[in-house]
Amino acid sequence: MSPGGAMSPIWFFWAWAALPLYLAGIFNRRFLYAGCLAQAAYLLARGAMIGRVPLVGPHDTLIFLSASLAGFSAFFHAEPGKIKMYRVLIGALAALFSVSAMLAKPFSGALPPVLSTYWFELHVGLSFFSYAFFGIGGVLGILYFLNLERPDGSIDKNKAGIEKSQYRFILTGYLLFSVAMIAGGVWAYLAWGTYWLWTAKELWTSIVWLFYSLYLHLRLRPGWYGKRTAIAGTAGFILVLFTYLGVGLLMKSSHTF
Amino acid sequence: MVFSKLRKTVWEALISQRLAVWLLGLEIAALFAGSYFLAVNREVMGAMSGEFPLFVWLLQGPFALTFWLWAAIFFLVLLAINTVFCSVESLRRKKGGLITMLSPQIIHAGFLLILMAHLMSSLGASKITGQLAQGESARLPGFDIHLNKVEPGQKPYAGIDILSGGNVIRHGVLAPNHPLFFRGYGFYLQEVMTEPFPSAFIEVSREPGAIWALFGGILFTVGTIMLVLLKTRHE
Repeated sequence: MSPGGAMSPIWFFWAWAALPLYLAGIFNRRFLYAGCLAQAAYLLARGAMIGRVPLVGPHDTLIFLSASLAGFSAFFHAEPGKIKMYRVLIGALAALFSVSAMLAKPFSGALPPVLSTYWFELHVGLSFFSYAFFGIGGVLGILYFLNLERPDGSIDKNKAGIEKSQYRFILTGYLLFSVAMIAGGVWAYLAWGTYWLWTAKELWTSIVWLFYSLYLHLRLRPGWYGKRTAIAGTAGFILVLFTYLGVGLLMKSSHTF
Repeated sequence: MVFSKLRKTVWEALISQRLAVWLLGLEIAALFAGSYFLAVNREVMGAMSGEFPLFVWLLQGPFALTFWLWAAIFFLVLLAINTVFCSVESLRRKKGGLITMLSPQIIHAGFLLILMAHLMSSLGASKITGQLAQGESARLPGFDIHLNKVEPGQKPYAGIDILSGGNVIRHGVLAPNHPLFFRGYGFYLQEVMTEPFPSAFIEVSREPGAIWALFGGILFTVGTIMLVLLKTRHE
């Protein structure tokens, strides 16, 4: 780091280094964790330089998301055949988010006073942790359909294992997402005098929350457990991505500062 | 006989997860429509989070633009009824262990409290924003507010007094994210200005559902943590 606010190229090296590490993670899972560590080191250095938690703008949040995705992916265990495809999908997704992050300009300026609160950091941090869990849930939904079909169409034990893992990831993501929304509500109440605003971001956040509530209820219905919930778990992540990226790009909302 | 059969059919419908799934799906569809109308009618929809309670705005708003919100409220009411009946039935059946039985009901209770909070706010929330010059007072129902001092800069703040009958009954400092609460009202610093004279934009708002939304959120979180621990162990 150099004084005067400019970031030394050595720290950008760590941010860029994550990209080949994630691509190498396609072949060996340990590289995924190395990529996660490189991005964590970069975010720590960046936080120290700008004097706040670096969670504002697509550069910071996409790096945070890809590091979380790679880090939390360690919680899934399966036999080598499935792990191979799993790390391909996780590595590719983390690399995609990393490239997108590096193309976005980092925002290092002073935050508006309304964003200088722990509630904001808690809200954003937990939201992206939950997105990572939902992302892994989405990846497991894809994995469910790859090379695992039995000729008679029945669900074999291994597929059921993947679906159960998907459920656990989504349930954990749902918990984190709910706490993130509560933190956001507390923050909004302290900042603007209301815990709820009628803007596109809040509406889409509600859609995501309701969709995963729907997923959790669907899973209790006979005949829906398995193929259909695997699809729903993957569809949920598409909604998450639209809420995160699409709403900001296409619609004006309370999250435009 | 017919009455008994009908009662059984209604009861089964009310406690069914299938109804919950349908209602969640319909609620999502209503909000999808809402996001479109919010995006293309910003000027009209901007007043939704305005000075008046939501229901006051809703009753006056053009139905062609607000139908999705009526639909969303209708589905939420049905979902709340379904949630209550579903929880009662689960507790009546006493299926599984204590945590298995209680965790979904705690989540449901949290959800219902959050809905109740939104209902209270939609009926009784209000806000008023005004510019006060340093040293100036404004009259509000039941008390006066006096702006003592404003400080601009990176960490702006404003010192205020709340007066009743000419006597100071509360003194406080307002800053971004640091409101002052008094008799159910929240006092918020919106903006501090030095030109053409030192002044501040102050918002006074009332959000009767806020505390219930917080309780609901806490209950919801506790129930979900219990469920996550349970499912991580058993699934």
